[in-house]
Amino acid sequence: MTEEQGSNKNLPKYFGEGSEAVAAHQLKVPLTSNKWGLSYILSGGLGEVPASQREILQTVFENNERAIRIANDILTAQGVELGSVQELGTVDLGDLAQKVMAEFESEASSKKIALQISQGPQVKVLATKDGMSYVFENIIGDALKYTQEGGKISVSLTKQDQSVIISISDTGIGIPDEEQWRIFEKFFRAKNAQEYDLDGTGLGLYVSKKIVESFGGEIWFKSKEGQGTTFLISLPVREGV
Amino acid sequence: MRDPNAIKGKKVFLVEDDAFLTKIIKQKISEAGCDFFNSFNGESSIPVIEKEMPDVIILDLLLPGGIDGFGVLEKIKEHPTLKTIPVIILSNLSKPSEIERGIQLGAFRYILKSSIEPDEILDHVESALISIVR
Repeated sequence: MTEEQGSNKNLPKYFGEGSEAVAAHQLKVPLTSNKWGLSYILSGGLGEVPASQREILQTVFENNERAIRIANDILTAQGVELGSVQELGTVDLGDLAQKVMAEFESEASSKKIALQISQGPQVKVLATKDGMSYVFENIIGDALKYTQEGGKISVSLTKQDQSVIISISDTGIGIPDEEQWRIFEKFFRAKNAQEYDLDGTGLGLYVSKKIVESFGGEIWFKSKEGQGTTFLISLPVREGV
Repeated sequence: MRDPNAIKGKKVFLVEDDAFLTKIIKQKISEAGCDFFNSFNGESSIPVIEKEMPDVIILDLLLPGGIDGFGVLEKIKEHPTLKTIPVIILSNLSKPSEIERGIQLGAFRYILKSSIEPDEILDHVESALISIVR
């Protein structure tokens, strides 16, 4: 039903020649149509939907949302690789971390996971709000995904000389020793992560590392399988603001 | 919360090359009591906008033919009588540089197609109408 996209020949202008992003965008066009069509039906646009059909349509809708997230991750990765980031500005990290934590509060509460943040004096860095939001959302989101009920996630911000150290720690499934060297690799997912949760692209940490490095920072981690993981991010502090 | 009468009788123009999305948006806009017009490409849109003088324009960016959505937006904002019509960009292009460009060119709002559901389009149309001081 979808009309052939006459603008396909123009896609390299926006995404780069032969890139993964062209494929991701091409996928996103029909996925968006699916989303709009399913949403229209589910909201009663064609009449009341019987419960038996609603359950199936809702599952198809959620799977479609998952596919859109994958396409979005690929597009974000490509954007970071091409350096198409916004102009840097001053970002208040504590404020941003609080906002991101607030987004995850209800999910944490439903899994009975304690979400804690501790921060010292206000720290500002030269970065982009979108970039740092992505990093926080990705790492805290993963922590939540891979931590069992009753666990704990702690975020702390500490100033050390001219840097701020962000620590995001969880009591989750951890990363197996033999796979730790690959964790920032594009499309890589550890075996226990794949067993624990099928949904994931293996792009989040790859993109997060690229973003942190583009702001002059570093990212590393400490992990023990079955006990938990701590991601650490160091960023130069923006003085005098 | 949307006022069901706020957009009734207003003219909404859509520039979108996807016939399926056009059909759904048309349905939503018409159900809200608006007059709906559309164009499937950038080139043919300007003459129709000049003739119909819509109250709100919803604009896709990746369009077939020689002029994309950014080009259409530029023409609207340079046009002496069309420049005050609020334009809502509805696109799958999600790079910060593209969003900034759309806003800098004068779009009222930049919405990512994959992040909204059809019902929400009416809220954006209403916000655009409220923003007009004519």
